[in-house]
Amino acid sequence: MGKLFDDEFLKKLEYLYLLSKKIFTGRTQAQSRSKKLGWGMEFADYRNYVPGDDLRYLDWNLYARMGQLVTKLFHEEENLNVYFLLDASRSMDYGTPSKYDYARKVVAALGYVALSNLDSIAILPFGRELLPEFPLARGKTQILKIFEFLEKLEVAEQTDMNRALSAFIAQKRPKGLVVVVSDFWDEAGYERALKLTYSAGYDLSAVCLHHEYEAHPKWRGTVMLTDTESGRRQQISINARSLRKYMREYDAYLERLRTVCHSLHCHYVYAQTRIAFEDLILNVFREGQFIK
Amino acid sequence: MIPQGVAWATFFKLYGALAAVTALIFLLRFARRGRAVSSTLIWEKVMRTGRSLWRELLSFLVQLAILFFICLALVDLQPPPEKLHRRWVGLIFDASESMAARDGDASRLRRAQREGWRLISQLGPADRAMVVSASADAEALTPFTADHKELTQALARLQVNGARPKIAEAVTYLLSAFDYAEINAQDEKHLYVLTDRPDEVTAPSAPGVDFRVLGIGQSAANLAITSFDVRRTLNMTDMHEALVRVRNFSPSNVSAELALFTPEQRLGTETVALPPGGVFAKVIGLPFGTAGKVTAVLEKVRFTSGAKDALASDDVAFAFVPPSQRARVLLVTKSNPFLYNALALNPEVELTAVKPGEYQQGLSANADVAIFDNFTPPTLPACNAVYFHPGQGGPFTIKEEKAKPETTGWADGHPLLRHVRLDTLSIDSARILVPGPADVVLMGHFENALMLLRPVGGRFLLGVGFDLAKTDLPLYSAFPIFLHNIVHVFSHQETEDPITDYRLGELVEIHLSAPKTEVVLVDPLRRQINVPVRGALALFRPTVPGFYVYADAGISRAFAANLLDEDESNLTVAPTEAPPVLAGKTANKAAEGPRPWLILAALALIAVDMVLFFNGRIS
Repeated sequence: MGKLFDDEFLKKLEYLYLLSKKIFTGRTQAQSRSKKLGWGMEFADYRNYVPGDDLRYLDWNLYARMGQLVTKLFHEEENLNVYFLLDASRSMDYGTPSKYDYARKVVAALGYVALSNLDSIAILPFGRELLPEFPLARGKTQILKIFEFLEKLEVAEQTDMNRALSAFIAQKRPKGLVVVVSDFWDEAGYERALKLTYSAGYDLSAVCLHHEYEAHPKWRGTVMLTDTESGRRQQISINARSLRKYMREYDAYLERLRTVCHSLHCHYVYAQTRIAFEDLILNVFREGQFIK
Repeated sequence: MIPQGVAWATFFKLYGALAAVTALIFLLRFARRGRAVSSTLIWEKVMRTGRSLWRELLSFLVQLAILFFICLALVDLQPPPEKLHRRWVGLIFDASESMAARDGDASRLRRAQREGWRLISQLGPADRAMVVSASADAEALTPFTADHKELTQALARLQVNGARPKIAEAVTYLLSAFDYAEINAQDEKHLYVLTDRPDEVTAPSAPGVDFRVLGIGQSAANLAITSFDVRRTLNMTDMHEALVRVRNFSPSNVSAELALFTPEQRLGTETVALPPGGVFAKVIGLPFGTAGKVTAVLEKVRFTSGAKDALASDDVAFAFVPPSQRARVLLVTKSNPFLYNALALNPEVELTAVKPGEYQQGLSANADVAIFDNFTPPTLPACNAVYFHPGQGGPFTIKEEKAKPETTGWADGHPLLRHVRLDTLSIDSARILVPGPADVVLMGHFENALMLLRPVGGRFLLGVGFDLAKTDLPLYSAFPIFLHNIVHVFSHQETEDPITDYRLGELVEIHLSAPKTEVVLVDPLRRQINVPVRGALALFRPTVPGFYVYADAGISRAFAANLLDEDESNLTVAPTEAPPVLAGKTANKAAEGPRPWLILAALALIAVDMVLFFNGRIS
């Protein structure tokens, strides 16, 4: 096992899993429940009979009393597919530890918990487009393969979330939860990609990871900034005034991301890499976003 | 364009160094201040426009251009002379003594300086001017120059110096300077003379030269000593008399006192009262023994018009009387009271009397004159000598001893017989002397002589054929004069006194006793002046009236310098022209060169660079 995922990391994952069990107290089954209504065990609602409905689900009692054909609906129970779309662009390779390492740990932790809940997970790194993926897999035994996969992942190129997620949707994968782990620094924008994913019927979660210097730059004076993705260089003179403006723009950027996510019923988590990743995971669990 | 400031080589070095420093700073800025960020999306919103590399490069180039313009401004490029329209101005200042007259709030020379400064201030940047002082000599104080500081400093150095200014020479000098200057066809030549005698300046025949005479000052009252000299009296004793001439150069009557001084005493005072233009001339006897520095001063000068005496330098005059030297006379006689008393009473004689038996050849070596009375030494003396009644074996050939010899003629007017008449002389007997071919017969006896002068080897021997005891000559009042003549002529005192009085600006020849390299003069202001000496001759031109003292062979010597010039003392000034305004066109602006525009361009580029700097930063 490499440095990224050592024994200590595995202990932390187990600890996280136990904590998650406490957080979701009262839940006897680890299975996730689909939001879709179908033919499962748990009654959900009635609707009028339409030709083609399974006659086994007609409520004959109600027909006898009311003379109206009504079909009973149940929550469809199915295994949850969790797709981790991991931003592998160069902008993620920033800071110490890098956002990329941090993101891989987050993906590994969430994946471990998901596998422990008998969900299927797939890891799809992306940059300008989708990169070689870790396909859907189930069972905790997959975790070591996932570690190996994640450790071998390298930062690739520029971000093009639109293109990558469009390709993901075009593959018509089974519906499930799409967890986008990224810094959301995309010159082409992320809104269209998220909307497409939502429109395609996937549940969405967004984990935005930033380095603390991105939130609070600590430079002063004239500096030459180099964009790690585009390589574009810009010289600026940083003073208190420009810093205040930067932080206003930064907050506005995050707010816009949060607004977009909420409009798409997308769970949104923002974290800086200075906090321990396990705290981030717990925060995610407490908000009940990923695991139910 | 021609560089007038730093040289091109300096320009390239300076610009290269500054450009290298700028480039280094430019590179270091990128090397040391680079920061990587995940994205510049937010920063681009913070900045109004992106400050990209090309903008940095542009700023860098602008900075190089700024340095270039500044360095080029230091080069101070000027259009080549042939492209300029220039004025060449020659300024001649009369610096004669009359320019020291105070006929207004300041001296004439001071006012001329002011006018000169006014003219210089009107010079354009391409114009050239030259300052020439005209006094006893024409002296260029500057070359043709555009440096106002140099010109004004030259004006400040002007000082009066002597009489009769050499304005014509100065004009000629400046005209030739015009010829040698790099004057182009379109240039203008102006020549201004600033003098208090504009009516005496003649315009030169110089086509193309704008010649103008600017009168300085106004007519003023002046009482002046115009002549002053001290000489020996005609009776050739150690007496002196002063010749003084005073003239009233004012339109009103004047009264004054003329006082004569030596450093030790006041010699006398004369009252002077003169009408307009009147002259007071008098020979004033000086007390016996007066020698050295004699000064004549006009005191208590009062003009009936109430005017003040405008020129002080001619109210005083100086004369130096060399102290007389006593002649060393050796008298060899048995006993001749006439000779002895006549010589002993002469204050100019240092007498040594010996008897013939005591005579030695060496005695004559220490004497200026040897007088042998009835004694003829076997050898010629070492000095000039007089033989009264010479005997055989001497330098003279005696024809015979003759009683009652007749006098057939005498050399009236000869220096030895000045003021002496011998035509009535009575002689009992005398030895008839045979004259040689080079002899001068002073008293003749037919073809022979009773008295003759013979040059022998640089010396003179006077032979007197008669015995003083056998003639009535000692009874003549002319006898002591005759002896005085002998002493003066034979002791070389007969020659004229050395010239010790000069005029200001006049070239003084100082003859020294031995060759040396320089002689130190102490002028009337007690300044020490080192005068170079060529051989034993030093040349010096006095500029201040008074006594000049120097030492020669351990002996203090002196001479006097005076104004004593009626032309300088006459302070009448002809009507003057309008105040001086520099004629001609002002040099065109091209003469200023591109320096102001380069500085403006540099400032504009600095503004551009500041815009580039701030425009790329904070919105």
